[in-house]
Amino acid sequence: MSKKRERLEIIKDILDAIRKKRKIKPTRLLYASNLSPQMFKVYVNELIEKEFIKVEINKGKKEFTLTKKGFDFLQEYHVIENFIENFGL
Amino acid sequence: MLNLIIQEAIQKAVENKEVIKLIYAFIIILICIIIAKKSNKIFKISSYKGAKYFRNAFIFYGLAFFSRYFLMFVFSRLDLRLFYLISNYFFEFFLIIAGFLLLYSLSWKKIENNKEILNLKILIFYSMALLLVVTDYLWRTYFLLFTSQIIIFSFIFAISFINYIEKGKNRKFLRIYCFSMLLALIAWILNALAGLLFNWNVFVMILIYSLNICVFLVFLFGVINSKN
Repeated sequence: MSKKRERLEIIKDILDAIRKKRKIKPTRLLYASNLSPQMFKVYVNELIEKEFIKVEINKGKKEFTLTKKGFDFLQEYHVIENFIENFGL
Repeated sequence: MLNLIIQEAIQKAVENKEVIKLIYAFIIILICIIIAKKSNKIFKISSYKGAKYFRNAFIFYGLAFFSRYFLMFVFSRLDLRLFYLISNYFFEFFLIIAGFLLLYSLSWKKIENNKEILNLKILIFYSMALLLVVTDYLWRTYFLLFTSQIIIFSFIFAISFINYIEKGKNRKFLRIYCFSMLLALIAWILNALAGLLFNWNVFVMILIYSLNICVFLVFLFGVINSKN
């Protein structure tokens, strides 16, 4: 059985899925994130609130894109992960 | 021969007590600044609360050492007794808060509720620190400072030990961290003994300074090591 994903890893997976597609529709992101719809909503709202991602409306449809903060997070993910794990934060 | 060299070194240390204290404080403050800056960067990128509490703990440690070793040194030279005393109580307040925040950075995930707008626990820490400082002031002692820090570092050591048992195989630093928290606990116990029983014995104090520098260097190593 695979290990339960940590919160930080889930955030990384969501941001990574957006980065790969540059723009992604909510349903596709839900599949890519491998979360339940309820949990997906919680994470997406948090990422919007913390300005990691933003919502754009394209032809009347919602799409998610990464912000600079989201890019920075992905680039520094291993440093962040090491820091948190080193001290058990 | 070696014994003679050590004795001579200790003798010189006793003579230059103030200089040693200032160098010691300078090293610790420098380490605190580096750790606070690095953890601030982590917090800015990730918005991870644990990084924020960790950063704040080291800001308060830096402030505590600045108050105790620089401000108090300056005020004692200028013979400003009131400011000297105030700096001492600020030192105690900052040190207690820093301890609380360090412990909280390790345990916040189990306690905190994401929906809280105002973090009441942090307010409680500030209030408790203030209460402990005022009580110590009224009793004219450091008893509550020592007791609170020994309790806090017992918890920190216990948590870091559990982390080491659970994840130590994959992360070697957890072993060093756990050991350094044991050293920090020992340093606080020695501090209590030096302050309450041995009238700040110089040899015990040098041992405490050495232990503290080791502990802060381990923190610094952990922060720098995150890049690998």
